Amino acid sequence: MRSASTHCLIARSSGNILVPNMRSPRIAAYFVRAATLSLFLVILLSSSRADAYPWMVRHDHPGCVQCHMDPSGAGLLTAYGREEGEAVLPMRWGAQPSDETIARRARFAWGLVDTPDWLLLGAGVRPGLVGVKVDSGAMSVQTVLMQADLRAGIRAGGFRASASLGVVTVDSSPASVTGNLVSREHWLGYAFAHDSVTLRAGRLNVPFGIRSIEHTAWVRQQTRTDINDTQQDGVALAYSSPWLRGEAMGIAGNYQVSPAARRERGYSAYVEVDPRPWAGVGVSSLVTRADLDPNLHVANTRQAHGLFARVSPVTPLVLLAEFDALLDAPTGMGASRRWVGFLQADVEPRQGIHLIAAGEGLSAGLNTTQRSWSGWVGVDWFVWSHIDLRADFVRQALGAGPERFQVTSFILQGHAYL
Amino acid sequence: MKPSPNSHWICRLRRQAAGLAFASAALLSVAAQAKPDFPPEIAQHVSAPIAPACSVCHLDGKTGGITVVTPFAMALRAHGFADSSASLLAALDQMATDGTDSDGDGVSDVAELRAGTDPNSPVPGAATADPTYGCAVASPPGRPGWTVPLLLSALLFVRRRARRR
Repeated sequence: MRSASTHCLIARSSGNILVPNMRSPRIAAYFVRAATLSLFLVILLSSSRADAYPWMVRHDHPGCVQCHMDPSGAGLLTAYGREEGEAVLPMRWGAQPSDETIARRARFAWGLVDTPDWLLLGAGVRPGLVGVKVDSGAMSVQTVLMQADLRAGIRAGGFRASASLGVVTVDSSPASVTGNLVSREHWLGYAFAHDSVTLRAGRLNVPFGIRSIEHTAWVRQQTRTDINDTQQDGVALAYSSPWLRGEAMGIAGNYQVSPAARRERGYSAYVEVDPRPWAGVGVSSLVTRADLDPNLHVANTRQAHGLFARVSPVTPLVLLAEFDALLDAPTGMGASRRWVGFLQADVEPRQGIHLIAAGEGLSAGLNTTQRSWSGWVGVDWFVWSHIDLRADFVRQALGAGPERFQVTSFILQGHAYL
Repeated sequence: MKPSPNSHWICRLRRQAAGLAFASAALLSVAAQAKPDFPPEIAQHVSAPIAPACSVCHLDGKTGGITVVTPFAMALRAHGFADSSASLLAALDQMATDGTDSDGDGVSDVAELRAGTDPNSPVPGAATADPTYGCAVASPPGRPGWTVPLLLSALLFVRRRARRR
């Protein structure tokens, strides 16, 4: 049922911090223009992302379906997910806001837009500045729009539908609808037994390992299971309970990639057991085949099987770990066995400030005789409601053939979401 | 508390402003950074029969600044490539001198470019080729797409049901 009226919440409540007493429309217009400019500058000069935070296990949230439309996490938030995020993510400036304030800020566009209960809306923009230096070469610095997505979802009874549409900097993408217009996911589904079981069909995030915003992590890139643009079309069945969750997907291929020979078909699945609300451990498995592998350009059967864990031994600290065995069997070459590992520590000394340290390893094989290593440190600052800023510094030793390159890079990004 | 007479007007203005700011930020930040001249320049410089595919340098063939991360692209950067034609050609010369082999298949990168094969793929003879991105099923040439109409129909159906209740 639609809440109250079409009046926006801000107009209903006096003393709102966003809207001081406005004596006339002209003053209001000046205020809005100033606010618009400020928002614009914040979005343009900062940026980051607000999608899948596996470290929410810190707040005793091992499951995903309560907060996300996607039962395995990421993307569009439910009404509960919005409120929970507003309560635990942003830094507190001054006194703890009231429940009413949190509920209002949590809504789409800070509550400026009233939506019916069955309709979920979301939007996110994430611009950034990236610098890369290889060995003694020059530092290349570029701006990039990582994400500018609009998302919409429907929850009506058991019926579920979700779709996203956005623009990105790259001219082409596996999520491309046309040019730099992307749709990362679009699906229809039905949820049974109070969201314990969800059946979906369409373009979906591939269920494998730790679902995280770190889409450049090697465990996500090597398994091609990130939430950036490696989604696949197919059918998936998800299960969620307080101590067990999992999803299995039959992969029909990415129908936004041509020719058809490039589409990978097979399955992907994970199961996570959560013996405690602050700890979970899981296994993943993926097998796909393509007549024209995206990287090797020949027919290839690709396998990935691994373990992952999320643990918060003390509230400020969350450890995320994943280890996957990779097997490629391309035509014209012997099978290649490799491994990839990821360990990340997220420390939140004060609400809204995340100190991040991570290490990655990738074995030799396939196209290098050298192992690759990576280490990075970063800060993610949830400045205010719906806005966070992030800075990362990364050092990598990348194997390529018989050589190994020393890569130094930094990433500054801002993230605002409605 | 009863809303003031200006409430509706202010609400509407705010909504429009927020939407405008969001859309502006999204659209103004888009800056394509692909270098369409580089592939033919590479082909001409190393006497290759065909221009290399975008995926030789760009991850998955996604053309844009921060996707220049393939092993071959890293080797180019390590040899002095700095996003300019002059530095590109100088880096290629240096790689030819060094015999750089980014995929470790025993054939140097420059030799692979000359043969029209991918210097990132260790599979012998794997030709470079880019995928085509876009709605292959949703909008095949000359036929209307189905995804958007399907979602819109679902939206209308649910809204209608909600109103009946």
